[in-house]
Amino acid sequence: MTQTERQRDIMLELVDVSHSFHARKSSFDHGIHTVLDRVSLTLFKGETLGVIGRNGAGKTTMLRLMAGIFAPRSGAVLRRPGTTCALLSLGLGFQPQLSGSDNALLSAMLQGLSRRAARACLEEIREFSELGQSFDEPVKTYSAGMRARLGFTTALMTHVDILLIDEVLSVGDKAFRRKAETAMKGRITGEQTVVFVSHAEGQVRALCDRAIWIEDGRVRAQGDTGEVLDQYREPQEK
Amino acid sequence: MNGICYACDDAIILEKVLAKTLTGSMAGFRFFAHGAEFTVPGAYAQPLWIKFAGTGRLADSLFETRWPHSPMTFPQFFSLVDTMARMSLKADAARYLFGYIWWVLEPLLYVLVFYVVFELILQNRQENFLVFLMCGKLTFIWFSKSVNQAARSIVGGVGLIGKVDVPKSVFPMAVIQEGLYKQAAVFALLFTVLLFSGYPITWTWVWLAPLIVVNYVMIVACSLLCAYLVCLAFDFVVLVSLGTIFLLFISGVFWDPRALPDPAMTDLILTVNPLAFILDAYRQILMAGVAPDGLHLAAIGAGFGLLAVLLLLLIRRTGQFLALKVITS
Repeated sequence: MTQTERQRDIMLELVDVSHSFHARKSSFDHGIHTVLDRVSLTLFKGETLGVIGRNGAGKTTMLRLMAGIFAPRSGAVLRRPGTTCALLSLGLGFQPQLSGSDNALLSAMLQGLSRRAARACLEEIREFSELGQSFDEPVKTYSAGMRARLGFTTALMTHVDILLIDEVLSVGDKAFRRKAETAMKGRITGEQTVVFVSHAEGQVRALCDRAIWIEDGRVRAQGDTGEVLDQYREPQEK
Repeated sequence: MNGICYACDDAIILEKVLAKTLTGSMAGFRFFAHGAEFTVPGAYAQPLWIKFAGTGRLADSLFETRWPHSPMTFPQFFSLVDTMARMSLKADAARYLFGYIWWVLEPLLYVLVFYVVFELILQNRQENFLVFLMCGKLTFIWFSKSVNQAARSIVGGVGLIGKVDVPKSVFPMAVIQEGLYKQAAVFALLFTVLLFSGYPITWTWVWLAPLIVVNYVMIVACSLLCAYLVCLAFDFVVLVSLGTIFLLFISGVFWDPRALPDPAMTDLILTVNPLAFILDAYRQILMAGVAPDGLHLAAIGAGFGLLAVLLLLLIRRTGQFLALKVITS
C-alpha cells in the first residue's frame, strides 16, 4: 500500500493529544487534573478499534476529543472532512423529559439530517430497538438497558460514519447484545468505523480488529487485539 | 510540507514543528500566521483542533484557532431550535393535568396575585388597574421566565452536550422559542381583554410590531448572557433570579413611572431601564393610543441586537470550553 492510499483510508487521527481540566473538589479549589498525556493514534476506515483500560484511565475523555466535544489542551485532532460522529455513552445523550421517539428524532437531526429525513428513520428505529410502546414514553422512565437500545439503534439507523461506543453494549440484555453485535459486524464489512470501549474482554476480542490499552492517560500498548489483551491481563493477574 | 513559507522566520519554524509533529498528515490544511495564509499541499484530513503549547517563538497564541468541521447552516439551526421547543411544549403539556391551559392560566394567576395585593389590600389609585397590571405583568413574565429558564438551559443540556458537538446556543434559543409560542397565546388573551374593556384598536397598534421585535431581541440578548455566565459559574443562577426580582420592582410592572411626583425621576427610569421603557410603550400604545419614542425604541433594539450577535459568536467560539465546563462542573 502506498503512502497516499493509506492516507485516504484514515478517518481520524490523534497526534500528541493531551487533555486536562480544573477539578473543583471544594469551593475556591482549582486543582488541575490531567486526563490524557500525549496520546497518538490513527483510526482507519471500516475498522473496529477496541479501547481497554481501567476505570478513570481517560477512555471516555478520548472519545469526547474524537467527537469534537472537547478541545485538547495541546496536540491535534484530525478528522476526514464531512464525517459524522456519534458518541454512545451510558446515561448521557438524552433529554430525560422527552419521549424515546423525540430523543431519536433530535439525535438524528444533530447528526445533520433534516427534520423530514429524521422522521423517516423513526420507524426503523422503533422496530430495531424493540422498545414497543415505551418508544413514545419519556426516557426518564427507561432502564439503563432500554437507553442503550435507543442510543445504539439511533446511531446505527442514522448512518453515522464513526460510532464511538462507550460501554453501552455491556448493559443491554443478551438477545439485544447479540443483535447489536451482528449489526455491527454487518456494518464492519461495509463502511462503518467503530471505536469500541468495553470491559468485556470477550466482546473486544470478538469484535475488534485492533486494540489500544490506555493506562493513566497514556497509551500502554496498541496493535493486534489478542496481543494487547494478553499484555493487559498480565499485570492485573499478578 | 515543503515550500509553503510566505511570511517570515517564525513561519519556517512553525513549518518544522508541524512537519515533525504531524508527519505529513496535514495536507490541505490552511492556517494563518503573521497576516499570511498557508496551505499544506494535498488533500487529507481536516483538522478539528490543533494546539501547540510552548513550541518556540510562535508558542501558544497562534494555534488557539478552531476549525469548524461542519458549521450548521441557519435553516438547520432554526429547524433544530424549533423542534426542541415544540418537543418541550409537548412534554410539558403531557406532564401537567391542565396541559396547554397553563400557558394562559399561569400568567393570569400572577396577575390575580398582584391584583389582590395592590388593588384590594393596598387600595391602588390607578385607573383601570387590572388592564394596567395585565399590560405590565404579562409582558414582564415573558421576559423573566425566558431569561430564568434560558440561564439554566446550557447546563441542563449536559446529556446532549456530552454526546455530540452541538452548538451550545441551541439550548437557550429553544427555551426562548418555547416562550415565544406561549406568549403568542398570552398576547391574544391580552388584546381580547383590552377590546372587551372598551379600548379601541387604533393605528398606533401598528407600533406593536416593532415593539414586540425589540422586546424579543432584548430577551435573546439577556438569555444568552445569563446562560453563558451560568456555564462559567453555576453561582450566577442565584444572581439571575435575584436580578429579575429587582427588575420586577424597578420596571413599573405594578406602578406607573409616569405618575411619579418627580418628572426627572420618570425620565431617569424610562431612560436608564430599557425594560421599563418597553413596558411603558405597551401601555402607551394599548391604553393611551400614543406612539412610543421610535428613536429610543430603535436604540434599545440596536443595542441588544449587537449584544445578542456578539454573544452568539462568543458561545460559538467557546463551545468546547463550555462543554468542558458543563460536563466537569
